[in-house]
Amino acid sequence: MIVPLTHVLAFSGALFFLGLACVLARRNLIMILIGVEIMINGAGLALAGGSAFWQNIDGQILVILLMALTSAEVSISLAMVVYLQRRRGTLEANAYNEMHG
Amino acid sequence: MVATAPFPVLSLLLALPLLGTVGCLLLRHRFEAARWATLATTLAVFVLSCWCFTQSPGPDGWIFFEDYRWIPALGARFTLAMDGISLLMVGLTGFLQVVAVLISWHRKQHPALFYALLLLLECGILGVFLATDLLLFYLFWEMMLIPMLFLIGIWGHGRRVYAAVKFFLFTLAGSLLMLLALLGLYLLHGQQTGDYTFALEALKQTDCGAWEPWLYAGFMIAFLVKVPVVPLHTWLPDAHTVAPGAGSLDLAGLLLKTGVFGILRFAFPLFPASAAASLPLLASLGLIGLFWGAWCAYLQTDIKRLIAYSSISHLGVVLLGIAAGSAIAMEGAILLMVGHGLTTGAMFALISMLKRRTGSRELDKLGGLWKEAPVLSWYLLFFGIASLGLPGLANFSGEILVFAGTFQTHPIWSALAVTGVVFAAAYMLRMIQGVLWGKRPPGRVWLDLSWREGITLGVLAFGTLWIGLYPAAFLDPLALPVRLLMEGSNLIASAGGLP
Amino acid sequence: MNPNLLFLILLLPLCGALINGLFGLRLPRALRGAVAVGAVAASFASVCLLWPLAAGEGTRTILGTWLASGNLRADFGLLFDPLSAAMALMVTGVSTLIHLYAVGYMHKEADTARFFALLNLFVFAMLCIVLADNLLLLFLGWEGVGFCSYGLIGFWYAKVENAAAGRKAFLVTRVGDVFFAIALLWLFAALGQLGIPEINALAPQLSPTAVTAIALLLLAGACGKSAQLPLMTWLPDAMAGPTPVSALIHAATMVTAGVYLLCRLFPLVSLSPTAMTAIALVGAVTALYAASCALAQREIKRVLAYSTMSQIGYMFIGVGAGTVSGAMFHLTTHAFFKALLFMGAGCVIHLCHEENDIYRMGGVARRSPLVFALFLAGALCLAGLPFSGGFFSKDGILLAAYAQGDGWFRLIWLLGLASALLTSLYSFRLLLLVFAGEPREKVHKHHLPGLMRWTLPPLALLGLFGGLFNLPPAYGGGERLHHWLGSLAGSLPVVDHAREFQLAALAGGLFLLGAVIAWWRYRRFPGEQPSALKNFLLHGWQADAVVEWSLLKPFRAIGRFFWEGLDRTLIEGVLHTLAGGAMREGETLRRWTNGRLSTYLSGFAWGLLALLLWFLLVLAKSAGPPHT
Repeated sequence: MIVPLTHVLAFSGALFFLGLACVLARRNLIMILIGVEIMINGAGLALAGGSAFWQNIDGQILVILLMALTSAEVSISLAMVVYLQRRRGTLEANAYNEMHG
Repeated sequence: MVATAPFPVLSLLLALPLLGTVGCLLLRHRFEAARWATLATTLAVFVLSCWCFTQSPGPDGWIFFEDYRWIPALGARFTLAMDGISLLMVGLTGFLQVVAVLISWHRKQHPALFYALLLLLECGILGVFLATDLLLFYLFWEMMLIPMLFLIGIWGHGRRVYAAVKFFLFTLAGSLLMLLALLGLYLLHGQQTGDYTFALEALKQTDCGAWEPWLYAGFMIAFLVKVPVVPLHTWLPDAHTVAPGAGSLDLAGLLLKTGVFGILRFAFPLFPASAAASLPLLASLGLIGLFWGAWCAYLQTDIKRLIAYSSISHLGVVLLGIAAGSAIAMEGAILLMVGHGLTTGAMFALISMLKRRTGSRELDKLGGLWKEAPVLSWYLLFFGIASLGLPGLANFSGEILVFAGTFQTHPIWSALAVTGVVFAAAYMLRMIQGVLWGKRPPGRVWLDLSWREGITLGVLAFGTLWIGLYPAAFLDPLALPVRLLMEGSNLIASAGGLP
Repeated sequence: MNPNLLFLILLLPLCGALINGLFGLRLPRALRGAVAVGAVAASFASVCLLWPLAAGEGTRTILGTWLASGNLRADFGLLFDPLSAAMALMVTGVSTLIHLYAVGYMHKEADTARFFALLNLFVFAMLCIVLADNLLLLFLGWEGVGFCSYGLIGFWYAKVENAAAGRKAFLVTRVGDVFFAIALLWLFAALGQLGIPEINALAPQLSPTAVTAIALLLLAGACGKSAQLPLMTWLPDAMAGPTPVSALIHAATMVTAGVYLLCRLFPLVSLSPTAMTAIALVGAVTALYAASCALAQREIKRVLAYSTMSQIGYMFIGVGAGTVSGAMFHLTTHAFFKALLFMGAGCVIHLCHEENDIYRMGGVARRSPLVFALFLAGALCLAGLPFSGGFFSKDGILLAAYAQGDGWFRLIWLLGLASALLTSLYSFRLLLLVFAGEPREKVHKHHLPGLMRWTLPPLALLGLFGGLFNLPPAYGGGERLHHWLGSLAGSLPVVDHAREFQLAALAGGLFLLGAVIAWWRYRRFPGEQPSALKNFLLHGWQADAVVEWSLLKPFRAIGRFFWEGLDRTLIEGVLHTLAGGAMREGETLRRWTNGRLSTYLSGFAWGLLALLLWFLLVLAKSAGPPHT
């Protein structure tokens, strides 16, 4: 392989934690979703790198599956975000706390 | 094992109240019909239990024995058995539930549900007295709690939810310890013999080794909370005081006895060595309860709470009787349980009648009842003196046997317990004084007993006199089971040896 | 003669009680009284008719089993021997007269059904004590008379003091009953028997300490019922009940039950010289105590109550000195004249318009010479007029005490003599203050019902001539009672006739001395002169206060400690702390579920971190170094 696996894993790990930071730090629902996207991409990158390293096509198949799942998930969640914006008028995550104990 | 009766009488005893419950729920919009259906069901159970009196026990001590498949994977079978002790208890249950229905004749709030819960409670109590499979026993033990919880919590007065939850949590905490002990016993037995079973007879053969005191304690705590024993007794005054009439009657008359019955049927036979070692502790707890209950009863101004504390006192004597290591005392304790059920049940019935008429249970608001309602007053006096142990009436027969039997093995305990009769007289006369004598406080006129109430109390009085004057009918069935229990559990005291 | 007919003696009063109790309110007034009197009279007739069964060893018959468990066996059985027959005769006879009197006394009362039912029930219970053949049935009667006494003392319950007096009687006697019960249990544990003849026969098998202890316990039980020290505080207050009740229960029957118990178990009790001395000593001290208190009482019935206490003390002295026949003789004569005195007091109270205080009476002799004559007869018997029934019986007991020799019994004899002097003194005081002189309060004419007047003369005759029942040989008599009792009679004092006459003369002298002192002090009403000594005696040497401070206050304090201190504060406190702690924990945990997405997401992150650390540090270490 051209790039050592450790580099790939480091880069995908960094991408994952950047996405996690985005999820934790942002309060806007859309930004949280973007953070989730980045985390998923990070995971996908690790899968692709592993597939190249172990010469196993399963990793790449999983990445394509991941892309399909991500598209479905994004379409549903963006639809819900539009609905919530219309109902409440805000997209702040902490505004939706009616399930408190 | 083959049932020795032409029909499965024990299962029928359990099935009748369940059918009655379903019937009441179906009839919940026509409570007149529900009322009569409940009365019919309870009468049927009582008549059936009376019929059982006429049967004599087989060679192994059981009058009836029924055994069916239940949960083979766990080794639990649906086993019901009746011996002399459970015969008396089942008879008492049948009788008191009829009385409970009769005194709840005019329930205004959800009457059909009330009767349904009464019948469910009866089924649970009967199951506790009849089950000899440990898992089945535990099922019925817990089944007793739920109807009682709702009876106190919905139809009670005053701090009813507090009292109901307190009662429930106390009893449940004890039951969970019993469950742990039960499972421990089950697993031990399975490891030793390879046969995982919940049957009582099989589990008696287990050698528990070092675990025995812990398992015994688990069982005993559950039963002692029910008895109740000081210091686990504080649920009783609250529960009794706020419960509706029939609820208090069932609590005092039956639920307290299930605790003692559990000790006799399960705790003593399963763990003989621990039982024999713990007898002095049990007797001391009994004596403490006797005096604690009497002393607290003396100071109460709410007459229902007074009778509640008096129950603690009487059950203290019962506990002393079963811990004395004498067959006479054990028979006396069981007889006292029956007698106490009748007299205290009658007292609670009277108090509910009094409350309905006068609207109060406080001693300083009552008084001068004899002038207004002589028949009601006469019954109150009668059951009051029966409760304090006048010879010729129910409680004395049991108490004197307990004292006599205990004196043979432990004279000091018996002498101490005898002084308790002065305390009993003190609080009971205080109650009678405050209710019957003196001047009537200004207010409405109080009616005397109706026909239904008169018949209920009359039958209770008849039972009290029967136990007081001719207890042989109740003592004869006890002779064999008590002897088997004492020998099997090694409870014969080694001290004394007097003839 | 069928022995089972003996049960009629018991069951007739019980039937009377049941009829009056269950149906009394529906019967006409006259019928209620008739049923009651008829029942007791029939019982008396039965005793008379069945008298031959009692001779010699007596007759023992069993109706059925009562309690049987293990080797404890108590039956409904009767023992009709000379002692119980004599006692039963006295009880039923005096009861019949008192029932007749009560019909007259209660003629204005509304609730006679309850009264006569309780009165008959009482007679039934008393006869249980007298005729029982085993201690448990005796105990049934024992408690039964206690209960009936409670109901009858507090009969006029509208006044709280009356009900309180009844309750006091029940509780104090119950303390005595506890000791009796312990003795009963001990006897059963030691001998395996509850039957009275068996216990008396087997008694020598017990160890001396056991016998002494049991006898002392029986003494304590007897003290409760017979109102001897220290369980005597209930008797003066019991006068709150109607006069027939006082006459029946607190003169003739219930208070003598203690003496009867000791006589019944005499073979057992007499085995212990300590116990015998104790019995006599208790009797003697009580006699003196009660006589001294009677001197200061103002209510006519309270004087008679203390007098009863004193005379029963004499009976105890008799039992302690070993003469059962002497004690029973005094019991019988005392029943006659004390019932007479109480019934006469009822007449006097009625004549003085329900006035109880003798300081406000006076001159009653002029208003009703008949009542005066009858009361005088009774008072003379009480004081010990020579050759009256009371004289012979009291003298017999003092003689027996004297004959026991030196030591404690000499002291007892001296105390008995002192009490005799005081007895004469207070009897004459009572006579003078009530009957002599001019009326001190204005009174109206009151009609005395015939039944109240004409039931008294028979008792007066029996009291005055009762000496003939047991006339000592020194006076030419045959000592019929002693011979009738046969082996149950205890021992006879052995004193030569000269000494006997000297002691009798001494007793007669004390009688005269008491009369003279009383005449000198009370022939003119001295007026109210309160003094500390009088107050002290009036309140029974402050016995009630002593009981209140030493027993009742601690009792209530301990009760309050148990209830408020332990139950409410300690146990409930622990429970509420636990419950409160659980609820607070729940509140704290509840703050974590605040419904906010950011909180939950950070929870995810922290959990993820924890898992990763666990994977890296724990699992990797246990798997060993990586193999590549």
